[in-house]
Amino acid sequence: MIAYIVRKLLFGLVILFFSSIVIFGLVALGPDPLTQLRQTPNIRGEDIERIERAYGLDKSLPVQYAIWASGMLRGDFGESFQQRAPVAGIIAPRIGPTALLMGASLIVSVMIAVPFGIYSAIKKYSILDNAGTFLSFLGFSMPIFWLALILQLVFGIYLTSWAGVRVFYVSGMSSGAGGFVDLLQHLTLPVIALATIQVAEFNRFQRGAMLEVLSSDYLRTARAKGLSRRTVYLKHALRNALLPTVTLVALSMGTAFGGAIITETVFAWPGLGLLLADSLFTADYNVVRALLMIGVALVIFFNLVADIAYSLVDPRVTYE
Amino acid sequence: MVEQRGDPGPAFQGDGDVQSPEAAGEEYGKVEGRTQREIIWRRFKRHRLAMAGGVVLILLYVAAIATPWAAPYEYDEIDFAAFNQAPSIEHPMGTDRLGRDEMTRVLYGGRVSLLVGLGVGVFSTLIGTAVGIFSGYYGRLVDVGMMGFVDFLLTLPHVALLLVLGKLFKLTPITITAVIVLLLWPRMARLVRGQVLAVRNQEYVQAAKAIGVPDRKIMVRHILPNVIGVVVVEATLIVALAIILESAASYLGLGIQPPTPSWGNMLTDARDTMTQQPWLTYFPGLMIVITALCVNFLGDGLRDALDPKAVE
Repeated sequence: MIAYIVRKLLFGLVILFFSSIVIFGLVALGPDPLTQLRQTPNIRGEDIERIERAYGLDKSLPVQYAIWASGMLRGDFGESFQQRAPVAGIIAPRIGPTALLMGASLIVSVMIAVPFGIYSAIKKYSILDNAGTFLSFLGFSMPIFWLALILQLVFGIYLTSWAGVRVFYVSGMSSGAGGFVDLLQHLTLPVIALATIQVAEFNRFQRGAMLEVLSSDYLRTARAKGLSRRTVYLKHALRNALLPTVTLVALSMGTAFGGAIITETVFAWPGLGLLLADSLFTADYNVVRALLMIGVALVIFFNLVADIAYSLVDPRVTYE
Repeated sequence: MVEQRGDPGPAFQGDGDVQSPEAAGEEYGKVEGRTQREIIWRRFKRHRLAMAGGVVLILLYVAAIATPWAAPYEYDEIDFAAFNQAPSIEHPMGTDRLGRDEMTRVLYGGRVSLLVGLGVGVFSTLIGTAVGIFSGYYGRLVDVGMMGFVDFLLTLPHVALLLVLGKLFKLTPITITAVIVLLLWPRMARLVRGQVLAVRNQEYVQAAKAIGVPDRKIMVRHILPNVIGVVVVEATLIVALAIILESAASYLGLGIQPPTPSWGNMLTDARDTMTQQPWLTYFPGLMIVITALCVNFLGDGLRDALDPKAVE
């Protein structure tokens, strides 16, 4: 098991290394980050050269890469061109909001999707099951940004004018007042937008996993020996049906990060995704690079978590 | 797999004459079987949502092809007398702030989204299936190398990368298709490889190898038919995903650029006046949802129809 984790970690490092080359190279292909500066009327050529030197832009690409990559190993992600500050310091305060958004929608979606998926499997083809199937397909087919727009329109604007008071905010994370209720008023709509797709995905998956367990031999045995339905479902079926979901939830975090980027942009939620969108528009490439590296690291990390979690909850799984 | 009907066939409907052995051989011994295609089609027809999805999709594609002739207006035709009009008989989906007919723009936008969806579906499927079959069939170093590369691509954050590429290169319908193919084909390759591993050591493949059938022929004749089911289903998922990814990138201004309308970038414009002209937000978004929903239903119907383990 330990050997397996170490091997996985090493493979993850190799992937991180190759990703860093691709990410650095891609971003270097982009437009010159100093375009705006160069076009400033009264700027002197020597000043531009000085700035280029300061950011290391005068060196060749391989040298720039080496400086950037070795900096990352020390936790130094370079300097932001726009904010003239270390990238690490710009990113750090953005991690919390993204973690809060992703964590909250993960909890909400698991709490809705797992019980419903189990119910759907037990009452297969009932009205509720069919409705759940339809809604899941609707969730899969929903572009998250459009759902976000509609939520803003309905709960942000129409509900506010109908109720006369603002119940949900459509942008930002706090309205200055602070406090838990204020946070909740800001968090609710982004979480609904992000959780919708996850609910659809988890629900279908949980239903499938439960159906598979329900058709297994040991369950037929349990019923045949006269156990009540309740005992059979809750004690025998449930635990095994939950196992695959643990893996799926961990593996879905990569997709959820993509969804979070879009959700944050629509709701101006001050997390990593909004930072990525802003940095793209201002051509702040060192920030973009760092965020892409974080994205890769996140996927690698959760893949590993999925592997380990699966072997922990399922004694039949052993890794060599 | 030939299936036999309960109905013994026309032999029992004869006029009672004792038939000659030759005639009996022709009539009596004839088993009315259904071809694989008929079986799949029969199962597919029973999935009503999938049928409906398929029909609507065909209509959408026909509309997309016919748009230049059928659209009531031009997509960039500005009507100074009709800014921001709510839906009416003349403008079924209203007009935008420049007085452009929304329905015409939705139709033109659909051409882009549907083209990207189809293009990504076709090319991801071709590349992913080819790589998956090679990798799974040859195994060893080929497999390690190819799947290492596939795993690497799957690790990259798709949405973030799409947005970065959209910033670096001004994307057209063709280039955004290429970019999304790059992001999505590894899914297909991984899936196909898994299926190939399951059939690679089956007796009929071993037998074909033993009698000296060339690898290329084994892959096409024996492996490919076994993976086609999952390929078709995954292809529909990829089409829906591609349409949603394209619209998201275009919405953020990092995909298809105006003046070319796409469902995504039409929603960017609509957002500023969402309270005053909500119809500009409703229609393009609804079209994305309807298209993706139809593709997903189609995929679900195909999954059931192509499932070799399904019972009638």
